[in-house]
Amino acid sequence: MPRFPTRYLLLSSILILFAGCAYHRYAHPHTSQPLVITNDVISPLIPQDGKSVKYKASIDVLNKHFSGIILLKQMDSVKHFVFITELGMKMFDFEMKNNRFTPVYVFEPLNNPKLIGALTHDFETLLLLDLYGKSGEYNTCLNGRDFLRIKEGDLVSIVEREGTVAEKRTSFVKKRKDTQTTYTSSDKGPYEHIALKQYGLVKIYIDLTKLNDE
Amino acid sequence: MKKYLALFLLMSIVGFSQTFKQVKDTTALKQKIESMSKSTVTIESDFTQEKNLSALTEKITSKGHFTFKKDNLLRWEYNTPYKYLIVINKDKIWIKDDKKTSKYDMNSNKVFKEINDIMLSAVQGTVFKSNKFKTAYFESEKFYKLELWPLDKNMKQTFKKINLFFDKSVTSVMKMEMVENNDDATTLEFSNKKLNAPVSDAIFTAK
Repeated sequence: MPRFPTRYLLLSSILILFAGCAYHRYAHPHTSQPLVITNDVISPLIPQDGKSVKYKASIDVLNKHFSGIILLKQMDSVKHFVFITELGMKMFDFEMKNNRFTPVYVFEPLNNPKLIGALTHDFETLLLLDLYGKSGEYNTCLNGRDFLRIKEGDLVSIVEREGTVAEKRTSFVKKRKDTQTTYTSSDKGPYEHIALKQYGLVKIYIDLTKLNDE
Repeated sequence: MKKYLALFLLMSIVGFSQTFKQVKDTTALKQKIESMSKSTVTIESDFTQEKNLSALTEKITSKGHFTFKKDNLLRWEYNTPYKYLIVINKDKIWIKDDKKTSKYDMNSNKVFKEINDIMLSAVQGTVFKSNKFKTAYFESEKFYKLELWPLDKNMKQTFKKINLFFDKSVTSVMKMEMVENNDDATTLEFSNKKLNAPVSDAIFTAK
């Protein structure tokens, strides 16, 4: 057997082992209590008072780098999510209505179903939008932080919080790590910085820094 | 101070929202624009960019400094809401943010090439010569306005029209307005303009 495949197999096994370990860290809580995820359980990232919030955004996907400004706003029950380049060109505009995240506008050169699918999935994850209204568990640990566990089919999401503000979300698909998002708050407010890493074949990095109005 | 600022903004809006009527002698106006284009070697200016998202009733405002040098050198330096630099030097583009500097070949990126062509021809006032637009000419007491309606299929997918405003002496472009099909618009207003001041070639690169 050539040397390269042996090394590759060994490396893959180690990675799978680590991925498995990450999942098993959350598998045996000390206590577990059912709950439904609401805004009182996890503070939402999109303001509920009709005001908008803007983030400086950096997105790396499929060997492409995009930067610009992301605007999040809820109008009535519809959540809007718009990405604009520094030059003012709109790259995409998504909306979430009745728990469905749909593209309203996508700049033609970006209009690739694989790319749009990956981006909508990751932004839904990053904004925690797929969790609200779902049943989950509040778990306590003897050694480690308390966490929320939300399971839907093969997808398991673990959310660690400070109060009701999310600090870290790790999503697993079939026990393998799918995405990890970290949320950083400051004295200016919650969710000042957000970073998402998508694992697997389509690797995506999203980095958001809140733009505070001066 | 805020009152004066609000008054100034109101005056600016009123200034650009005057009643426009069609220009009768378009040949004379075209000659003035061509003459402006020929005599303009460099432009330095501050700019305010405003993105209006009509459906969301939201505005995103950016400010910075702009430099142009004939024939194909552009520098857009954004200072707010954060520092960001775009430099165009003939067929090369540099983009610098707080994390990295990227260099692109203009010919490898159709989108950049299209934006650059519009920007350059708008700044130089030669855009009305382009076969990508149908042009209509208007004037008010203070301004000339060129309405550029895209003919190109790809451009039509994004833009409904592009408006260019010139002062009545036609010394330079005062404002550029790009209206999208869904009525979102990006406006660029130039202020503190210096025409034909010496500008070093060295600023049209980023490292």
